[in-house]
Amino acid sequence: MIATAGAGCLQFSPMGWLYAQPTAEIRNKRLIVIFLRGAVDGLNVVIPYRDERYYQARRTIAIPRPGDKNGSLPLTDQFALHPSLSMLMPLWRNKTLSFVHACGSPDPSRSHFDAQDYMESGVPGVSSPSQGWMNRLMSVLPKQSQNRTAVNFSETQSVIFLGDQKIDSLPLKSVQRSMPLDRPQVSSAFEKLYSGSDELSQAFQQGLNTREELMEDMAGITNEKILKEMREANRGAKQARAYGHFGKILAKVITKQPQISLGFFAIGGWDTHANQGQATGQLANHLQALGQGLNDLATDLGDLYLDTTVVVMSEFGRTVKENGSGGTDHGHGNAMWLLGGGVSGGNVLGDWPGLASSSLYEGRDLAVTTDYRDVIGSITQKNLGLSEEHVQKVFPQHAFRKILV
Amino acid sequence: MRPITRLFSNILFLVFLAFPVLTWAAPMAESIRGIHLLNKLTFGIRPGDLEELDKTGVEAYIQKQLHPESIALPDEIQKQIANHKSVTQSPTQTFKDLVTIRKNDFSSKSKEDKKDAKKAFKQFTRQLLQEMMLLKINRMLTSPRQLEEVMADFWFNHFNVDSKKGSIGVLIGHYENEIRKHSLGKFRDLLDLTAHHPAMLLYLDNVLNTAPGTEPARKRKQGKKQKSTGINENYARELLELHTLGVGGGYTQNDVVALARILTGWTVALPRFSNGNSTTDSRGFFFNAARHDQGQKVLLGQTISSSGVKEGETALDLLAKHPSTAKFICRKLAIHFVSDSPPQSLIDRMSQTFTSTDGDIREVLKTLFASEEFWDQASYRAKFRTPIRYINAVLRATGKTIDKTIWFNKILNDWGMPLYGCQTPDGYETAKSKWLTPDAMVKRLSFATTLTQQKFAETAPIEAEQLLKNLNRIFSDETKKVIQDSGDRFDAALILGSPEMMYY
Repeated sequence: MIATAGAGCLQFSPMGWLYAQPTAEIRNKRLIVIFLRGAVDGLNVVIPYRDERYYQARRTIAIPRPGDKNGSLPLTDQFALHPSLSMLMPLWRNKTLSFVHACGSPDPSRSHFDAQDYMESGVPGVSSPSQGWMNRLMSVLPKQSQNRTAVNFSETQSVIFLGDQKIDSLPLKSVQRSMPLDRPQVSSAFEKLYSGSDELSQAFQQGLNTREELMEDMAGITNEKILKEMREANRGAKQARAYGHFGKILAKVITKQPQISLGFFAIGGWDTHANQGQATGQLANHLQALGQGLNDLATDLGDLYLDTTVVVMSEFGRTVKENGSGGTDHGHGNAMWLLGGGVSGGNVLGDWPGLASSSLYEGRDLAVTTDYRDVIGSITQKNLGLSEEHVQKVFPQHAFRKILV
Repeated sequence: MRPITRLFSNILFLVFLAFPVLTWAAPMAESIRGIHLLNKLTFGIRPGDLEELDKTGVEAYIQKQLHPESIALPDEIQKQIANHKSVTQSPTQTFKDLVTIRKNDFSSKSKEDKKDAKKAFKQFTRQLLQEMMLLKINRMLTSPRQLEEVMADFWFNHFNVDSKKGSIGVLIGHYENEIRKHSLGKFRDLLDLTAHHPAMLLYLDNVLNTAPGTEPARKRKQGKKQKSTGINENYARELLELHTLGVGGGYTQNDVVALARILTGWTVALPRFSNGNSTTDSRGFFFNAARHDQGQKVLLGQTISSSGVKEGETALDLLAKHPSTAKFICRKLAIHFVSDSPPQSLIDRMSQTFTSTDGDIREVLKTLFASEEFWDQASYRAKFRTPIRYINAVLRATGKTIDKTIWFNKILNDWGMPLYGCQTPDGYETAKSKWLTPDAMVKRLSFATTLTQQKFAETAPIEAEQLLKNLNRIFSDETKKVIQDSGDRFDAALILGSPEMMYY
C-alpha cells in the first residue's frame, strides 16, 4: 500500500489505497494507447439499451437487452456492455474501467486513413502530418529519476509517434525470440557500418539498445511454460491468434521496464461493413480477443496497473442504422475506453446526445459531443501531471476543455 | 577588391543563397546512372546486370522494359504458369474445379469423414494460395520483364484485396495475372478489370450492395430469418477515395451514395456463389438487374439516367477522365519511382501526359523516365526499401531462387507486410516513415546474417568474395573499407545488410 502525503487531502480509494489529490502528486507513470483501426462499432460495445431507436435502427445486429437471451451486460441504467467483454466486468466493478461516449474528432472525414491520421497527429483536418501527439507528449512529460522511454509496440511506424523525440520500437511478436543480432559478434560487426549519425545508424543503434535491455530482462520468456500459457491465451477467435496474447506480453515488458512511460499498439480488422454479427459473430470475436488482452494486461501488470492509464480509441464510429448486409458503414461519434488507475471507473462519461434523428450527425451517425483531445488532455493532466500549458503543446490549435474523466 | 570581382562574388553569394531552392536541379553523375535505373525499374541488381546495361544503353533498356511483350519469358516461369491453371483459366472454371473436388471429398456421409474432408479442402485451398505466392516471388526474382513485375505489384497494391477474406485466396492468381496484363496499358482498362472481378466485388462487399426492397441476397432455408437488403457503400467509397479521384479530389458523401446506387447489382455468378444465376463473363462477373437501383443518379454533377449496367460503365468513364484521377495516379507513381515527396513540376507534367493520352500508363512512365527530376541527384537512392523490395534485392544480389514460399512469406509477415495480406484496401504505402524503425534495422540485419551464415532454405552458403566481385560498383568506398577491415566471418552479411542495399 502506498501512503502519500501532499498539499491535497488524503482519501481512501474504493480499493483501500491511500492517495493524494492529483495536484499534489503524479499518480501515474505511464499511458498506453491502443488504437483500433477500421472504426470499431462503439454503439454495439457500449449499448444504449433503453433507447427503442437503437433496436429499430438495427433489426438484426442490435445486442439484446440485459436479461434477454445473449443479452448485454448492464453497466448503468442507460448503457450496457457487449457480452463478449464479460471478462472486463470485474474492472468495471472495481472502478478501473470507464467509457466516454459520443467521443471523437470534429473533422467530418469518413475516410479511415485520413481520420486515423488526424487522430494520431492531434491536429484534425491537416493532411500528411509529420508529427504525432504522442511524440509531443513525450517532450512534456515531467522528469523522473529514471530516464523515461516511449515504445511503439506495433510492427510499423505510426503517425502518432512521428516527431523529434526518440521512440523505441518493440513489436510484441518479436519479443518472444532471440535474433542473430543479439549475439555480440554479430552486432559489433554491423556497428562498424552503422556508427554514424545518419538515419540508418541512429535507428540501428536504438534498436540494438532496446534489444540488449530486453534480452537481459526477458531471460525467462523463452521458457516453454510461459510460451504455452501465451498460446492458450489465443483460444477462441481467429483474430486472437494474431494479437490475442498482446496483454500478457505487454504486461511482462512493462513490468521488466517500468520506465516505459508511453506505449502504442494498433489492432486492425474492425471495419465491419458486412455480417458483423450480434452477441456472437465477427465483431464479438474481435471484442473477445481484445477484452482478453486488456484483462491480461490489467491482471499481469500487478501493482503497476494502478500506475498506468490505458486509452482505447478508434478513428470514428459507425452508422446508427445497419446497412443492407448485416453490417454498418462509416460513422462519426464513438466510445473511448479508459482503464487503469485514476479513471473514474464504473461510469459512462461524456454527454450522450441520444439517437433522435434531430440529434444525429448528418442525420445518420452518433454525434460527437466530446472532443477526443479533451479526453486525453484531461486524463493526462489528472494522471501524468501535465499542466494546461503542456496540454496546449500536445494539442495545438485546440481550445482545450477540461472534462470529468 | 576590384568592382568586377565584388560583383562576381555578390552573384555567387546570391546563387549560394538560392541553392536550397535549386536542390532538384543537379543531374546525377554518369557513373551512377546505371545503378539508379536498375534500382528503380527492377527489384534489385543481379550479378551481370550492370555490365549488360552498359552494352544495351539506358535508352534502349527503358524502351524494352516498357514493352515486356518484346522480352521472352524463361521456360521455368512459363512452366510454373502452365502448372497453375487458376492463374489463366476463368474464375468460373476454377470454382467449378473446386466444387468438383469438394463434392468428391464430401461424398461420404460419415461425420468423421466430412470433418476430414473439410480439413483437406481447407488445406488444398491454402496450398493453392501458397503456390500463387511462389509464382509471384519467382517472377519478382527471375523475370526479365522487371518493370512489368514492378508495375504489377504497384497496381495490385493500388487495387488491393486481402487474400485472407473469404474465397478471395483462390482468386488471387487470376486477379493479379489480369492486372499484370494491363499494368503498362490504359488506366481505364484496369478500372474495368477490377470493377468486374470477383476478388474486388467480394473484398469490398459489393456483392451485398443491392437496391432497398429488392430480392434478398440469398434464399433462406425454411424458418430462418431473411437477410435484409440495401445499399452497401464500401466499394463505391473506396473506388472514389483510393482508386480514382483520391481524398479531396472533389467528391462528396452524396457522390459516394450515388455511385453505390449505380453499382447495385454488380455481383458475381460463380459456382456456389451464384444463387442460380450464371454468367458468360470470363471473369465471373454478373449484373443482377433485379437488384439494381433503377432511379436516376447524379454523380460528380453529371446526371446518369437509368440504363442498367451501362450506368456503371458511364460512371467508370467519368472517374477515369476526372482531372483529380490523373493527378492522384501520377502522384502515386512519382512517389513510387522518385521519392517520398517528389517535385510538383514532375507530377504536373505526368498528369498532362495522362490526360492527353487518355490514361496511357506506358506514356506516363515514358514522361517520368525521361524527366530531369528522375535523373536528378536528389532522386538517387531517395527511397527506403519496403520489406518486399529489400528481401528481393538481397536475393537477387545473391542470384538465388527459392522453391518454397514458407520462409519468404513468414519473414514478410513478421516485418508487417504479408504477401497478398494487406488487410485494408489502401494497400501498403512505400514511405520511409512507415518502414524505417529501430526494429526494422535489427530484423533486416539479422536476416542478412542468417541468410549468409548457414545453409538457408536449401541453398548453398553465400560467398562474400563472389558477392563483392559481382556487385562491386554499387558499394561506396566507406562500405568497402569496413568490409575489408572486418574479419572474414560476417563479410557477406555486411554486404547484404549495407546501407547501399537499404535504399533504391
